[in-house]
Amino acid sequence: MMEALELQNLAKKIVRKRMPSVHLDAVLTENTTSSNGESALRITLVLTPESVDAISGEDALKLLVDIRHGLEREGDDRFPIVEYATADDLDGEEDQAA
Amino acid sequence: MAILNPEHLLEQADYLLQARNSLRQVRQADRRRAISSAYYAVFHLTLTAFADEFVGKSERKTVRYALAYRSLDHRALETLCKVISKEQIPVKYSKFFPQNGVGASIQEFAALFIELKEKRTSADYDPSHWIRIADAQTAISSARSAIIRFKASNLSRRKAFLTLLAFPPR
Repeated sequence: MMEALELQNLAKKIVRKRMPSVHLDAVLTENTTSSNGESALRITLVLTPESVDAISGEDALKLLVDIRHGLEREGDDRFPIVEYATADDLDGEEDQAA
Repeated sequence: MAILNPEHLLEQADYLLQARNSLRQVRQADRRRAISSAYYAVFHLTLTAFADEFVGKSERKTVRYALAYRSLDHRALETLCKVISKEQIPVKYSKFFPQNGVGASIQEFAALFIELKEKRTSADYDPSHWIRIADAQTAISSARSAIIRFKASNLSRRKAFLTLLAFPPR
Protein backbone atom coordinates (compact mmCIF):
# COMPACT_ATOMS: atom_id res chain seq x y z
CA MET A 1 0.00 0.00 0.00
CA MET A 2 1.22 3.47 -0.82
CA GLU A 3 2.05 5.87 1.99
CA ALA A 4 0.33 9.24 2.42
CA LEU A 5 3.14 11.27 0.86
CA GLU A 6 3.39 8.98 -2.17
CA LEU A 7 -0.37 9.18 -2.61
CA GLN A 8 -0.32 12.96 -2.43
CA ASN A 9 2.45 13.14 -5.02
CA LEU A 10 0.60 10.76 -7.32
CA ALA A 11 -2.61 12.78 -7.04
CA LYS A 12 -0.78 16.09 -7.62
CA LYS A 13 0.96 14.72 -10.70
CA ILE A 14 -2.33 13.51 -12.19
CA VAL A 15 -4.15 16.76 -11.40
CA ARG A 16 -1.36 18.71 -13.12
CA LYS A 17 -1.66 16.48 -16.18
CA ARG A 18 -5.46 16.34 -16.39
CA MET A 19 -6.40 19.76 -15.09
CA PRO A 20 -3.49 22.12 -15.79
CA SER A 21 -5.57 25.24 -15.10
CA VAL A 22 -6.71 24.07 -11.68
CA HIS A 23 -5.07 25.51 -8.57
CA LEU A 24 -4.60 22.78 -6.01
CA ASP A 25 -4.17 24.03 -2.42
CA ALA A 26 -3.70 20.62 -0.82
CA VAL A 27 -4.31 16.90 -1.15
CA LEU A 28 -5.67 15.05 1.87
CA THR A 29 -5.67 11.26 2.00
CA GLU A 30 -7.44 8.96 4.38
CA ASN A 31 -7.68 5.19 4.62
CA THR A 32 -11.27 4.14 4.71
CA THR A 33 -13.50 1.12 4.31
CA SER A 34 -15.95 0.72 1.46
CA SER A 35 -19.60 -0.06 2.02
CA ASN A 36 -18.68 -3.72 1.41
CA GLY A 37 -15.99 -3.71 4.06
CA GLU A 38 -13.06 -3.54 1.63
CA SER A 39 -10.10 -1.21 2.05
CA ALA A 40 -10.56 2.00 0.10
CA LEU A 41 -8.87 5.34 -0.11
CA ARG A 42 -10.45 8.74 0.27
CA ILE A 43 -8.51 11.44 -1.57
CA THR A 44 -9.68 15.00 -1.04
CA LEU A 45 -8.51 17.63 -3.51
CA VAL A 46 -8.66 21.06 -1.90
CA LEU A 47 -9.08 23.68 -4.61
CA THR A 48 -9.71 27.38 -4.95
CA PRO A 49 -13.40 28.23 -5.58
CA GLU A 50 -12.59 29.36 -9.14
CA SER A 51 -10.89 26.05 -9.82
CA VAL A 52 -13.97 24.08 -8.77
CA ASP A 53 -16.01 25.88 -11.41
CA ALA A 54 -13.36 25.10 -14.02
CA ILE A 55 -13.54 21.32 -13.53
CA SER A 56 -15.69 19.56 -16.10
CA GLY A 57 -17.39 16.24 -15.48
CA GLU A 58 -15.16 14.71 -18.12
CA ASP A 59 -12.00 15.99 -16.36
CA ALA A 60 -13.19 14.43 -13.11
CA LEU A 61 -13.91 11.08 -14.81
CA LYS A 62 -10.49 10.91 -16.44
CA LEU A 63 -8.79 11.93 -13.22
CA LEU A 64 -10.58 9.18 -11.31
CA VAL A 65 -9.49 6.51 -13.82
CA ASP A 66 -5.92 7.84 -13.88
CA ILE A 67 -5.72 7.64 -10.10
CA ARG A 68 -7.25 4.15 -10.09
CA HIS A 69 -4.67 2.97 -12.65
CA GLY A 70 -1.82 4.85 -10.95
CA LEU A 71 -2.55 3.04 -7.69
CA GLU A 72 -2.79 -0.27 -9.51
CA ARG A 73 0.64 0.25 -11.11
CA GLU A 74 2.09 0.77 -7.63
CA GLY A 75 0.50 -2.49 -6.46
CA ASP A 76 -2.16 -0.71 -4.44
CA ASP A 77 -5.55 -2.29 -5.13
CA ARG A 78 -7.60 0.09 -2.99
CA PHE A 79 -10.38 1.85 -4.86
CA PRO A 80 -9.98 5.64 -4.75
CA ILE A 81 -12.88 7.86 -3.77
CA VAL A 82 -11.92 11.31 -5.01
CA GLU A 83 -13.61 14.21 -3.24
CA TYR A 84 -13.46 17.90 -4.02
CA ALA A 85 -13.43 20.72 -1.50
CA THR A 86 -12.54 24.35 -1.09
CA ALA A 87 -10.68 25.68 1.93
CA ASP A 88 -13.84 27.58 2.96
CA ASP A 89 -15.91 24.45 2.90
CA LEU A 90 -13.34 22.58 5.01
CA ASP A 91 -13.21 25.44 7.54
CA GLY A 92 -16.97 25.56 7.77
CA GLU A 93 -17.39 21.98 8.83
CA GLU A 94 -17.10 22.60 12.53
CA ASP A 95 -19.25 25.66 12.97
CA GLN A 96 -21.95 25.47 10.33
CA ALA A 97 -25.34 24.23 11.31
CA ALA A 98 -26.29 21.26 9.19
CA MET B 1 -43.97 1.76 -17.71
CA ALA B 2 -42.67 5.16 -16.77
CA ILE B 3 -38.93 4.94 -17.33
CA LEU B 4 -36.98 7.32 -15.11
CA ASN B 5 -35.14 9.88 -17.16
CA PRO B 6 -31.57 10.17 -15.74
CA GLU B 7 -31.33 13.79 -16.82
CA HIS B 8 -34.39 14.62 -14.71
CA LEU B 9 -32.67 13.14 -11.67
CA LEU B 10 -29.60 15.26 -12.41
CA GLU B 11 -31.73 18.38 -12.82
CA GLN B 12 -33.29 17.58 -9.46
CA ALA B 13 -29.77 17.32 -8.00
CA ASP B 14 -28.83 20.71 -9.51
CA TYR B 15 -31.95 22.23 -8.01
CA LEU B 16 -31.12 20.87 -4.55
CA LEU B 17 -27.77 22.66 -4.58
CA GLN B 18 -29.30 26.08 -5.05
CA ALA B 19 -28.99 28.13 -1.86
CA ARG B 20 -32.27 28.62 -0.03
CA ASN B 21 -31.36 31.60 2.12
CA SER B 22 -29.56 34.92 2.07
CA LEU B 23 -26.45 33.39 3.67
CA ARG B 24 -26.07 31.28 0.53
CA GLN B 25 -25.96 28.11 2.59
CA VAL B 26 -27.00 24.79 1.19
CA ARG B 27 -28.28 22.38 3.79
CA GLN B 28 -26.57 19.05 4.40
CA ALA B 29 -29.88 17.33 3.68
CA ASP B 30 -29.96 18.89 0.22
CA ARG B 31 -26.31 18.10 -0.50
CA ARG B 32 -26.88 14.50 0.54
CA ARG B 33 -29.99 14.11 -1.60
CA ALA B 34 -28.14 15.68 -4.56
CA ILE B 35 -25.42 13.04 -4.39
CA SER B 36 -28.01 10.31 -4.05
CA SER B 37 -29.89 11.60 -7.12
CA ALA B 38 -26.66 11.67 -9.14
CA TYR B 39 -26.02 8.06 -8.19
CA TYR B 40 -29.54 6.97 -9.09
CA ALA B 41 -29.30 8.75 -12.45
CA VAL B 42 -26.38 6.49 -13.36
CA PHE B 43 -28.01 3.41 -11.82
CA HIS B 44 -31.34 3.83 -13.63
CA LEU B 45 -29.59 4.55 -16.93
CA THR B 46 -27.88 1.16 -16.57
CA LEU B 47 -31.14 -0.63 -15.68
CA THR B 48 -32.81 0.85 -18.75
CA ALA B 49 -29.93 -0.09 -21.06
CA PHE B 50 -29.96 -3.59 -19.57
CA ALA B 51 -33.69 -4.20 -20.02
CA ASP B 52 -33.65 -2.57 -23.49
CA GLU B 53 -30.86 -4.95 -24.51
CA PHE B 54 -32.37 -8.20 -23.24
CA VAL B 55 -36.12 -7.59 -23.51
CA GLY B 56 -36.34 -4.73 -25.97
CA LYS B 57 -37.17 -1.05 -26.04
CA SER B 58 -40.54 -1.75 -27.63
CA GLU B 59 -41.49 -3.92 -24.62
CA ARG B 60 -41.11 -1.20 -22.02
CA LYS B 61 -44.73 -1.40 -20.92
CA THR B 62 -44.68 -5.15 -20.33
CA VAL B 63 -44.24 -7.05 -17.08
CA ARG B 64 -41.37 -8.95 -18.71
CA TYR B 65 -39.50 -5.68 -19.15
CA ALA B 66 -40.19 -4.71 -15.53
CA LEU B 67 -38.93 -8.12 -14.42
CA ALA B 68 -35.63 -7.62 -16.24
CA TYR B 69 -35.32 -4.04 -15.00
CA ARG B 70 -35.77 -5.11 -11.40
CA SER B 71 -33.49 -8.13 -11.70
CA LEU B 72 -30.31 -6.11 -11.59
CA ASP B 73 -29.01 -5.13 -8.19
CA HIS B 74 -26.43 -2.64 -7.02
CA ARG B 75 -23.97 -5.33 -5.95
CA ALA B 76 -23.87 -7.06 -9.36
CA LEU B 77 -23.16 -3.79 -11.08
CA GLU B 78 -20.51 -2.88 -8.54
CA THR B 79 -18.75 -6.24 -8.93
CA LEU B 80 -18.47 -5.87 -12.71
CA CYS B 81 -17.49 -2.20 -12.52
CA LYS B 82 -14.74 -2.94 -10.03
CA VAL B 83 -13.15 -5.44 -12.41
CA ILE B 84 -13.45 -3.51 -15.66
CA SER B 85 -12.29 -0.19 -14.22
CA LYS B 86 -8.86 -1.75 -13.70
CA GLU B 87 -6.00 -1.20 -16.11
CA GLN B 88 -5.27 -4.94 -16.21
CA ILE B 89 -8.56 -6.72 -16.78
CA PRO B 90 -8.71 -10.51 -16.35
CA VAL B 91 -8.99 -12.36 -19.66
CA LYS B 92 -12.26 -13.99 -18.62
CA TYR B 93 -13.77 -10.49 -18.83
CA SER B 94 -11.62 -8.80 -21.48
CA LYS B 95 -12.24 -11.48 -24.11
CA PHE B 96 -15.83 -10.27 -24.49
CA PHE B 97 -14.75 -6.78 -25.52
CA PRO B 98 -13.39 -5.80 -28.94
CA GLN B 99 -9.65 -6.36 -29.38
CA ASN B 100 -8.68 -2.85 -28.44
CA GLY B 101 -10.22 -3.21 -25.02
CA VAL B 102 -13.02 -1.95 -22.82
CA GLY B 103 -12.62 1.62 -24.04
CA ALA B 104 -12.30 4.84 -22.09
CA SER B 105 -16.03 5.62 -21.98
CA ILE B 106 -17.08 2.32 -20.41
CA GLN B 107 -14.09 2.32 -18.09
CA GLU B 108 -14.85 5.84 -16.86
CA PHE B 109 -18.51 4.93 -16.42
CA ALA B 110 -17.51 1.88 -14.36
CA ALA B 111 -15.09 3.80 -12.15
CA LEU B 112 -17.62 6.54 -11.55
CA PHE B 113 -20.33 4.04 -10.64
CA ILE B 114 -18.20 2.63 -7.83
CA GLU B 115 -17.16 6.05 -6.59
CA LEU B 116 -20.72 7.37 -6.65
CA LYS B 117 -22.03 4.28 -4.89
CA GLU B 118 -19.61 4.91 -2.03
CA LYS B 119 -20.48 8.61 -1.92
CA ARG B 120 -24.18 7.82 -1.97
CA THR B 121 -23.79 5.33 0.90
CA SER B 122 -21.98 7.96 2.98
CA ALA B 123 -24.52 10.62 2.02
CA ASP B 124 -27.46 8.43 2.97
CA TYR B 125 -26.16 6.66 6.06
CA ASP B 126 -23.04 8.25 7.58
CA PRO B 127 -23.84 11.16 9.92
CA SER B 128 -20.13 11.78 10.56
CA HIS B 129 -19.41 12.56 6.93
CA TRP B 130 -19.61 16.24 5.95
CA ILE B 131 -20.77 16.68 2.37
CA ARG B 132 -19.06 19.58 0.63
CA ILE B 133 -20.71 21.65 -2.04
CA ALA B 134 -17.76 21.27 -4.41
CA ASP B 135 -18.00 17.52 -4.10
CA ALA B 136 -21.74 17.41 -4.69
CA GLN B 137 -21.34 19.66 -7.76
CA THR B 138 -18.59 17.48 -9.17
CA ALA B 139 -20.60 14.32 -8.51
CA ILE B 140 -23.43 15.73 -10.61
CA SER B 141 -21.22 16.91 -13.48
CA SER B 142 -19.32 13.60 -13.50
CA ALA B 143 -22.56 11.63 -13.59
CA ARG B 144 -23.84 13.78 -16.46
CA SER B 145 -20.63 13.25 -18.46
CA ALA B 146 -20.53 9.52 -17.72
CA ILE B 147 -24.11 9.12 -18.96
CA ILE B 148 -23.38 11.04 -22.17
CA ARG B 149 -20.23 9.01 -22.79
CA PHE B 150 -21.93 5.69 -22.03
CA LYS B 151 -24.72 6.44 -24.51
CA ALA B 152 -22.18 7.46 -27.16
CA SER B 153 -19.83 4.54 -26.52
CA ASN B 154 -19.04 1.90 -29.10
CA LEU B 155 -22.03 -0.44 -29.47
CA SER B 156 -19.98 -3.66 -29.25
CA ARG B 157 -18.38 -2.49 -26.02
CA ARG B 158 -21.69 -1.45 -24.53
CA LYS B 159 -23.22 -4.80 -25.45
CA ALA B 160 -20.26 -6.63 -23.92
CA PHE B 161 -20.70 -4.64 -20.70
CA LEU B 162 -24.42 -5.43 -20.52
CA THR B 163 -23.85 -9.10 -21.37
CA LEU B 164 -21.28 -9.47 -18.59
CA LEU B 165 -23.78 -7.88 -16.26
CA ALA B 166 -26.45 -10.42 -17.20
CA PHE B 167 -24.13 -13.41 -17.37
CA PRO B 168 -21.13 -12.93 -15.07
CA PRO B 169 -18.25 -15.27 -15.95
CA ARG B 170 -17.42 -17.96 -13.40
